[in-house]
Amino acid sequence: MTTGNRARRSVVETRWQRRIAVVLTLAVTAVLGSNLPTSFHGLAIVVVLVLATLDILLVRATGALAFTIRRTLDERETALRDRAYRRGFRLLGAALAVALLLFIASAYVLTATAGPSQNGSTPLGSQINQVISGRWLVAIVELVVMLPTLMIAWVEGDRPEEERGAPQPHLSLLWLSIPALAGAWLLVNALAPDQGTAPSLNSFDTSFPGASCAHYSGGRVVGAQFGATVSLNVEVCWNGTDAFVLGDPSIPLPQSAIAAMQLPPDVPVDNVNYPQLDLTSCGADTVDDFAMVSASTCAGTVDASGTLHYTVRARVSVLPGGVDRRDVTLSLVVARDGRVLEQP
Amino acid sequence: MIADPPIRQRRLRRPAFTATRVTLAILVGLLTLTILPFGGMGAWLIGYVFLVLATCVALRNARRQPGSWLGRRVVRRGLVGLIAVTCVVLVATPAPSNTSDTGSTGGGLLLLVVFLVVLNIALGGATQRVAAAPDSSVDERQEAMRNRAHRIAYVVFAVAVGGTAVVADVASQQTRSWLGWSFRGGGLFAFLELLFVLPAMVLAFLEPEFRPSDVREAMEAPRQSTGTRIALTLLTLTVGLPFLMSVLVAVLPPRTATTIQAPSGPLRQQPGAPSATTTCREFFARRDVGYGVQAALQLHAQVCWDGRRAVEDYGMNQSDCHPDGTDLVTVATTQCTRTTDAKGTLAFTYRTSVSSGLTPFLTRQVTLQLVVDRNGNVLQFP
Repeated sequence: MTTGNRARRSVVETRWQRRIAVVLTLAVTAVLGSNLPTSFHGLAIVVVLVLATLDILLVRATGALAFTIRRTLDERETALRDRAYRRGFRLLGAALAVALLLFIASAYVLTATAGPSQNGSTPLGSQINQVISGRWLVAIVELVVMLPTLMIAWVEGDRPEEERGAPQPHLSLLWLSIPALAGAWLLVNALAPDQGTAPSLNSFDTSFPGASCAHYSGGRVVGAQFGATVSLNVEVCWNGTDAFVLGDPSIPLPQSAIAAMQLPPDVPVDNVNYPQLDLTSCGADTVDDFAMVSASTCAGTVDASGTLHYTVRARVSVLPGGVDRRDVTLSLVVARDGRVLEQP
Repeated sequence: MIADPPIRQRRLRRPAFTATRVTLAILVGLLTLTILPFGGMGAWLIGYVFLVLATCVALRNARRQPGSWLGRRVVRRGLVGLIAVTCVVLVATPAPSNTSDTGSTGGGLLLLVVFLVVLNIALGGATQRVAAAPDSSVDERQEAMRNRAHRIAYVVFAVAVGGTAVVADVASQQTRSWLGWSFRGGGLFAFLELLFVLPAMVLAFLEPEFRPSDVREAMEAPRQSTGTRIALTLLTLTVGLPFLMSVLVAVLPPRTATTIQAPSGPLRQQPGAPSATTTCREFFARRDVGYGVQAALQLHAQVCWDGRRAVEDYGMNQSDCHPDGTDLVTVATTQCTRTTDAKGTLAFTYRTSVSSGLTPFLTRQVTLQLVVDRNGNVLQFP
């Protein structure tokens, strides 16, 4: 084999190089699967591309043995591949359990060290039903697809030059998957229709003098989990005269609600209508790992008929500079008798 | 065909930390942390989880005896089919919620899980648990066979579980809701089943037919060892305990706790409520039925009286007639009434019918009643 051929083979040729690549791959996967950092602010695709690069290096270094179904494999290769799958299967369970542990532990660490973020969101307390976020999905797919290759890369020893097979030029085509991945991400964000999200089980209800209250949470997913999620979390009360927002002092209470509280004259309304982030929060539960979310605003107005119009606006962009920005608007309209006229 | 694995000459020491053990330890730890806040029920669940684990360990360590009929290919494939169907049904079974219809779903879920445990044990017997056996106790042919089974299982798992999760998570709001809904219910059990048992299922499906000589050897083997007896006892306990606890719901008398005290909060001043010469008391009663498979019903009300009549301050309305907690039981409200008679006596009755999801034909009537006359005399409580 010529030096030129060897150079084209792989940059992770020796066992130790392969093992370093395996550790790096697992570390990047762990970062994706944990809550640290809480958001990639649109840069998660860079992490995914780094992961894909490591994957290609490892697949090439192992001769794509884990994905080879040809019957031309010799006995040693077949045994190695099948053993890697067996260990990989066992490790898959452990890896998923560890990933779950990491997710919960990092969420607790975040909450314990910093408390809820400024907008009221906590990693374990999302009020919208994201189920599996995009970064988690990537981590899971990475583990499922790559674990056998990681096993082979880890256990296979260094082989003498003469035992190595001929270089496989077709594996160089794998590098095309990097631009393909980036292109697919752009396409999904450009073409995939926006989706709604259901509320999770983490919502809260409260009461208000002379009024009935209900919590509304929902959101809009841009880019099918590989873009961003804009959310709406608001507590709405209605008393027959007005529907109004509770827990956000920037949205004033109507006179009918203030009168029902029967406040002593020296007590300002703000002492009662104070921020309650678990009830109403602007921008909580926004997910912006794969796309940037900016200019989030929340506004609530009560019209002459006592109907509440609550609107969340945000700008989502995938590319730096916001050249592809998309405006997302979520509207909630509740009548003074509690009827929901519009909701996301 | 699976024969009794020969003992290798050079015994390798089994590692203390295998991937499966680490996975199980983490999952049991997480489960324990999750259910600990549920108090008594949590303790029951944790105890049951450890019983299941002990049964698994005992079965794993019991002497392997290839059964004559369990080893037949058609039986093994039938078992695999049954497990697959059970997993599909589990995926379609939602999580129990803390409402009055909890029991039907929770009981059905428990029944399916118990059924799955039985099927898994049969599968373990049919394959002699070669899929999870330590390396030192399988021969080269068995090792090659189980490695191949794991490879096939891996692909099946990736497509069936990974593929389903990815598609459901990105396709639409409805599919995403379904995924979350399923994973909080039977889907989680189906996932764990496939994660731990799929290779054995593939192995059972692929293995060729027993040879007559193997069956003869099996029949001539000693029938039972102490380990096998312990394993069978634990297995009987594991399968029978949920049914026993279900029967206890209908058989054992309810446990009742009551408290009567001065009002702990401000009065709500209901329209028509007594005011000037009013006396009030806060009543708290709780009835627990069953252990593990159980329901808790409570009455928390405040009653005021002024010598002319007794009135409810709070806690005696339709919205107050709901169970405080249900675990694997169905609680159906049969009566929820509040009346005040001509003498000013206030009566509140909350009556329910409680039955286990596993034994729905056995029911128990549980009643919470509070009767207070116009002078504050408690005539009935609870």
